[in-house]
Amino acid sequence: MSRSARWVLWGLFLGAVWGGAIAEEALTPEQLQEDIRLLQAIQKLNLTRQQGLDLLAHLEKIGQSQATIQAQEALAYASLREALAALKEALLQGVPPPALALRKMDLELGTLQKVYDRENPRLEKEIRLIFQEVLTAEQRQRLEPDQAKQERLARERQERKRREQVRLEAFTVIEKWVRNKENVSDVTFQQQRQEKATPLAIEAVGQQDMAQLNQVTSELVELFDYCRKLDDRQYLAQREAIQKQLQTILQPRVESPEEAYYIMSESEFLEFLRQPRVAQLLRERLPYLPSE
Amino acid sequence: MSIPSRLCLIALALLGTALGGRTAEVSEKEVAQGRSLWHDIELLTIISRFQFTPEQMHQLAGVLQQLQSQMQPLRDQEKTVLAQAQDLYLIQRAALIQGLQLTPEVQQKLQAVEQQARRYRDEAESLYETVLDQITANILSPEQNQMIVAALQNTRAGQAWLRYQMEQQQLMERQLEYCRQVLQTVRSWDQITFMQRAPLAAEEVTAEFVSSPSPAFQACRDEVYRFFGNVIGIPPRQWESQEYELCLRLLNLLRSAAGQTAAAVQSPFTLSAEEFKRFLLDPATPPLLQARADYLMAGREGLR
Repeated sequence: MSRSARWVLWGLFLGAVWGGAIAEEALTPEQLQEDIRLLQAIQKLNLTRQQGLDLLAHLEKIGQSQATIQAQEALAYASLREALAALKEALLQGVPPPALALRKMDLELGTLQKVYDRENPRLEKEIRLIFQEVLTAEQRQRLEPDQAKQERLARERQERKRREQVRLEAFTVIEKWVRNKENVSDVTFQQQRQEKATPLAIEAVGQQDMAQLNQVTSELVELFDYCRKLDDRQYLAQREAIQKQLQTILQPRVESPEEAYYIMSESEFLEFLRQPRVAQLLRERLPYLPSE
Repeated sequence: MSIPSRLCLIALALLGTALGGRTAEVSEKEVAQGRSLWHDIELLTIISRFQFTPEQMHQLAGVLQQLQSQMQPLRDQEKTVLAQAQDLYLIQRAALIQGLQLTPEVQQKLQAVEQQARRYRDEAESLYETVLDQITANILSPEQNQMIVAALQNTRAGQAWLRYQMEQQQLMERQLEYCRQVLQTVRSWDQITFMQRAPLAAEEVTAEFVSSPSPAFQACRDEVYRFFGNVIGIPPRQWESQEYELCLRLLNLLRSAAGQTAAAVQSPFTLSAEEFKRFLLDPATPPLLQARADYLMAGREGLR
């Protein structure tokens, strides 16, 4: 690395540390969560330092275009308040909006359109360059197509519902035992707990992964045993916690292979590139990115 | 510069700063007002595109108000859990910036916080999903359900509809490509070739879309011929930036003559599952639904 390049990196490093320290102090919990989410996405992108520098250059141009658009939009919002109020009222009443309001909007939106016409091609160009010149083929491949993501989420939703059903079944079993405690002998309970636990576990996790199946079965049996030992008052006090324990056993939040592989969906990536905060975070992260 | 004039300048500068500050403050408020009105208009547009009946709107507003009030405490609890772990998250942020691994102890603590927060999030999500099922099954009509593309992905009707949409999209892309090839051929001709071949080409292209002989065929063929005439005169640089738009214009011309929906306006109103979720969970939605329903009911009363 040349001497001047080293100085530039040192400058970036010091700026990042100082800027980061200031940024951290002022962060609200929500902003902090958002920063972490974006930083995790940056981490998953697995950028080299050169890629980081290139990406930052494009992001800065995107930021400039966005700022121009937002400034013009802000002007339009402010000056169109009366017209917007009239349009809202017309939509509420289901009548045509007043002609004057529409004319004013046409005029203002015409100006805004000119800004869009000028800035949007610039934005698109920067985004295209990021895809073509900054990201590697592997990184591009790890952006999940939107349609595939929608389908995956729908599948996961069905799976969650199924597991929720199993959880309710398991909870009903526990409640029955607790209610009929006096009528169920220890011997009968010992027999029944395994008879109940195994099919519930199979229903929840299937039979393909035997280790997982055994784990879930034994955790269920353990919970059944625990509930058996409680008296009515103790059980009532812990009813909520037991439901949650069942949830942890039968509905664990496990990252799916797709979720782990993909960085984010294609449209999320486009949104990510348009977030002004990303450039700031990347600036902070840059000195620590690997050179290769 | 004399001292009084310097003082004058300073006073003016101070006044300017004070006024500037006030203007900025007022305009921020104005921008926020305009933005909020625009947001309401977006929601009202969705409401009007769904063509809800007043009864549906009343029902939906009630269900959503209840859902939102049930979800709010869960969201607040999630926020509290996360806010209490602010120090841990600052450590995680610093580690992510510097590309460092978290210590097992911090990792464990973070996992516990995440698990607790996720419990509230999942509970809120499961509440939403239950209510969404109710809405799609009991409040929305089948046609309205078709507007929410992803909500229907698991039903046979939804899949057929999505397939139809995809086929339409593919058809349009093929037709657009055909128009592009035709226009490129036309543009490659010199004036003499154009005069010789363009009338027949216009006829052939029109015949691909409109059955001949018919008055619609003749009118369309003439328009296509005129269109060709306009296109050959466009300079190459301008052509590059307008090619897509001009292909679309030719396609619209042919499709309208054929009685097909014009390509530019053919996309139906749809919302993705995510967009529909945002619409349902927006705090402004229930009052707007209520207000719109009240206006419609008042209109009905007036007619009686």
